Amino acid sequence: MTHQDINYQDREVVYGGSPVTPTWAADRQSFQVPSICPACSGAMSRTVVRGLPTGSKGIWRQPETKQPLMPQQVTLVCACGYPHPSRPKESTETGCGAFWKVPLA
Amino acid sequence: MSPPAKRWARLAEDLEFDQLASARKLAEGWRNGLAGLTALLAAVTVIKGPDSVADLALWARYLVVALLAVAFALLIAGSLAATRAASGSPGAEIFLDADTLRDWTFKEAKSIQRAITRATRCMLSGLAALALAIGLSWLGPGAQATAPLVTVERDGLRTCGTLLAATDRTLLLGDPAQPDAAPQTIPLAPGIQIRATNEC
Repeated sequence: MTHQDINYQDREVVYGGSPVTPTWAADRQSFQVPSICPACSGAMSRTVVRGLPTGSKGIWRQPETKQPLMPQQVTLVCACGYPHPSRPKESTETGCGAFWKVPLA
Repeated sequence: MSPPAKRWARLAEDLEFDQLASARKLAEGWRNGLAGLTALLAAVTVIKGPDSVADLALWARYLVVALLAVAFALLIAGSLAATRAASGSPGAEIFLDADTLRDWTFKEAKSIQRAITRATRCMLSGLAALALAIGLSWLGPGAQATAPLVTVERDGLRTCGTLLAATDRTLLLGDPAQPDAAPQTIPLAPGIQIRATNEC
């Protein structure tokens, strides 16, 4: 399906596809979720990194192998890269404004 | 205004690029908190060494030291809990996704409330223990003077006991093992030898 040049709009769209198998990075510190925007059909992918919400490694060293809880689904915001009409100039987004939840396999 | 779910998603995406700044901020908070611990040491050592409690009864001395130790531990725990509430918990790692970040944020908010409550309790209890220790060191009961132990030798007979009284004719010796027993009266006579001793 080709990309649809629809107007930018903040909206949640329903993802009707099957669960996505994430592609892990070699160091297991991040994984990638490819998807097609259900609103504008633009292809995109989101890399979810293992990060620190407060930004510290801690007083005691954390074991590198200890994996945080894997999410059941990932919220994706369209980042198709096309210049959709009506997108606010101050917006840092690079898509049509749609977002959807993708279940992970 | 974006829907909340989208805002969480955008926030999670942005966090990836904010790791260093937030790490520095957290480190700064913990540095200040840990530096504050040295001030606690100064507060607890307001009772200056053994000289300040040397005149107290033995049980009061041990109680003052125990209260100081408890106060120090409670103040440290309270200070660390306050630092944790103000600066965050080091070591938390999650996958930076909308739902995970939202769940973590709500948990963290509750955790901060608990930490503040714990910090308040610890600090107040610690200060109370410190005040009690200071008060006890000022007003606590003094150590009772113990009667000296003496050995008396007369006519080849040796008697040991606490010297309770002495007149120009007799000595009164108590039994150190049985302080309530009736004292022994020893007449003073030529040739009697009286020596101080450490034990009977």
